[in-house]
Amino acid sequence: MSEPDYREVEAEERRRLLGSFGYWDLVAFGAVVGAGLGYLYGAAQEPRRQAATVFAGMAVGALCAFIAGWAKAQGRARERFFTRWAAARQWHYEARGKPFEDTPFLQSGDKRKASDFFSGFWPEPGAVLYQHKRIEGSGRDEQVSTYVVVHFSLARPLVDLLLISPRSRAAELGEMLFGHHGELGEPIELESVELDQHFRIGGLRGREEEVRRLLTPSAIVRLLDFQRALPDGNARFEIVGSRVAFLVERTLTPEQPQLIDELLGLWQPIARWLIEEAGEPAAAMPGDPEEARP
Amino acid sequence: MTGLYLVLALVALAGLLLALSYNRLVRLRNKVAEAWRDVDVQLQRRHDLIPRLVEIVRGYATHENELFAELARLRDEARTLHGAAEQSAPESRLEVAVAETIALAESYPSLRAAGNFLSLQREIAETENEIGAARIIYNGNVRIFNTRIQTLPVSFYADLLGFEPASFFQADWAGGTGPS
Repeated sequence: MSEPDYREVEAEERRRLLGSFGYWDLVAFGAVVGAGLGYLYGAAQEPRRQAATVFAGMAVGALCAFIAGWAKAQGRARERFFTRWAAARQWHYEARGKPFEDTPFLQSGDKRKASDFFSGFWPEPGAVLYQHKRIEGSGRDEQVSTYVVVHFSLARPLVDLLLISPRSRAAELGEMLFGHHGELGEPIELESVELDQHFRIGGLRGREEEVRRLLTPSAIVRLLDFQRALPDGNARFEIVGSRVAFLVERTLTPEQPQLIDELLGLWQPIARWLIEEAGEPAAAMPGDPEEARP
Repeated sequence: MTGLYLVLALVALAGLLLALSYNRLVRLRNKVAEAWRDVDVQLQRRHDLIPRLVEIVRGYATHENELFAELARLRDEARTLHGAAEQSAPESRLEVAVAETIALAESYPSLRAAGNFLSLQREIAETENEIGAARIIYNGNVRIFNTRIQTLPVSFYADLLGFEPASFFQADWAGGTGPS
């Protein structure tokens, strides 16, 4: 199956929208509702000027309905494109689903939303890539951070808790202002100055050795390679028992689906290392993505 | 009087900055030492694997005594030296000799299929991988430390405080190890 082109899918969806009677019915309905509201508004004014407000209401109502339909078509184009794009790789795509909440950062935030779930890539089955939105505050103070998450489970627990979080000033300021479960992880200093410059390592108090045993020099080099390949990614790695989450501050867009390939390419050496550490063959990854999803 | 206070404040500030800078240099030097210990542990692991490698291969390649003797000599030489500057060259030669021995062993089909050789080969590959990674981390730390003490303003007083540039641990041959 060939790779779809998002522009074509989008154009196809727009053509379908513009050619559907339902859409024009919606625009007409919006115009009628707008005209009615405009009439009521005009009647309430002194002096009364219903003629102008009816026309203005009609225009606004029609425009709102037009935009709503257009936005829905865009959403449908996105969904259709990602479905075809995943199918071309023999992957599975689901537009909606519940966010994973089994690691400290994935649990953090006042609200969490998830979309665009991909599965079927290596290590298969069990690994899921999706878009995770972390929402802090509400109303005007609402802060939304968008991450692309790769989540999977190992056959056996590797370490009780390992948090590798970015040491960027922005991330530290964000955590200071909005808080998160950073306090869960006892800071652990490893031998690499460069790693220390980019990441903060955290584990359970008294379990430092467990983390040090896992983060061998080759593991540290893999993390640094990742950091060099994506210096502004604010990458995070979290392991809780057998659950592994890897987050990068990015947004999934159908215009740039290659981001998914890029992230998986960068993440897979790390996943391979974890799988080897867990002492299992890559093909024997347990758990079905449907089962793993909460 | 105000001038005196100003001078005292400046001296105190300079002293504070110097203390902070000194602490940071000590921390960096300790990191270099810590990273070297990692390299050393992995080199030790390589040294420990060599007798096993010789023992296994000798059973099949009986007429390669020269290579085995060279391997033993290089291992003994590397074990007597200490520090990155001294160990770089002999360890590189040892690495080449180990690679040659494994290549030689692979030319014997019965040896290539032997279980103990396969597990040893895997162990050596893992060790070489870890040596390569530990070397990257060590050299990264050395680069940061050396840059710090060789650039202004630290270069003015680093020498006085007893900080000297650390040596890199080099891979001398083109096929030097690196994590795969």
